[in-house]
Amino acid sequence: MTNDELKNVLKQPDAPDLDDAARGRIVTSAAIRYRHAARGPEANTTASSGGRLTSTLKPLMAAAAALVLVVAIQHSLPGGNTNGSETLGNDRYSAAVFNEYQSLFQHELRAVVARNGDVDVVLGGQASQQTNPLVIIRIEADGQPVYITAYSGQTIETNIGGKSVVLDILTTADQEVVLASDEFMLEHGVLHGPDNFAADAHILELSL
Amino acid sequence: MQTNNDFQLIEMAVDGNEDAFRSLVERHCEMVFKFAYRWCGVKEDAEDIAQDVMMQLADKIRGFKPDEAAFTTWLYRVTINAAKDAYRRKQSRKNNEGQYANDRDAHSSNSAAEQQLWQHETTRLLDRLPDKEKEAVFLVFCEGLNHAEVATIVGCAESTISWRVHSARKKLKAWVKQ
Repeated sequence: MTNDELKNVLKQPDAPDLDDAARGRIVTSAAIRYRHAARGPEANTTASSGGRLTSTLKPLMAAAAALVLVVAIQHSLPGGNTNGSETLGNDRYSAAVFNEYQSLFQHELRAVVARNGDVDVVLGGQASQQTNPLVIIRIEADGQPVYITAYSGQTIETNIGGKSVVLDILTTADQEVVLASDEFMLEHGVLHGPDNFAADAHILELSL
Repeated sequence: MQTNNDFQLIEMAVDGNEDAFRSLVERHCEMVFKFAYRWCGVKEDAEDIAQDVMMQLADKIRGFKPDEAAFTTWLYRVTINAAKDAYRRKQSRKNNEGQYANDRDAHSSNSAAEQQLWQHETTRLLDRLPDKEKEAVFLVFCEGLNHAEVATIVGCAESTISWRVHSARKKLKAWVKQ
């Protein structure tokens, strides 16, 4: 068998193109890994065996569990609307709520999480990325919405759909919000995750 | 970033420039995906392999010396290893090759069945070769690399690659005749 004959035997039709969604997931997950690799070995993202495009931060979670204080506050904001989880989706209101807590907790505030009329304030030993854009996130699990207001560039842990979820919050140069967690990934406005999840996110345009 | 070549992107990524790193990944993930697809014949597995390779790149890029040739060689080596690992894992899980082939059949029925069938048959032929021979034949005849380049990627002498190709050729010839 000559080389040409062998080439002919092995000649294959073109492999399919990598579709945009897969390309986006690969690039985003690699970028997250790259960013975490810069922080050192304690923070990492990985693809689970057989799993697809997941982000795990197990060592970081352990550290976060020790550092992060989650204060559950029955929602009663001074001068605010008491229908918190519904209204926090509104940018102006979200900004006001976030600003309120930021004045109380200064550089410790990492995120404000609203659900079922309650507001959780996520505080941490890590200073908030206050030079980064502030983003508004809505995540629904089984139709139950959770609203998160936080600076991008952070990893926060919160309860969504009865599960503890570690969420990477990123913004791209195109002013797009990217969310990455073990359970789902949101990019280009498209959610990749379980059917009972829905999510959208955008950068808060209002200044605090 | 589009105007930068790989050398510049590597240099910037080594220095911590995330945009450069993203450009590097965007530029090479298609090649890695296609390579992985030709190796394993299953699109979803090839996507996983491409992701795995790019994750490894994220981990290792800061230790790179900005050298395009070394980068490409490294990328091929990691892709081959990731593809082999994925294939072994899958085989181990399925516990027999027939099940893995069934996966391919299932994908074949989805779309472009004829093309997938071609892919299936070619991959199946290659799968019958010992790993090292499959690797050599794959890189030479499917990727178009010369024996010296393959030797650098695999980490052995050029003559070894030539021998593996020769040996594989004899086997393939016999199988094609059957």
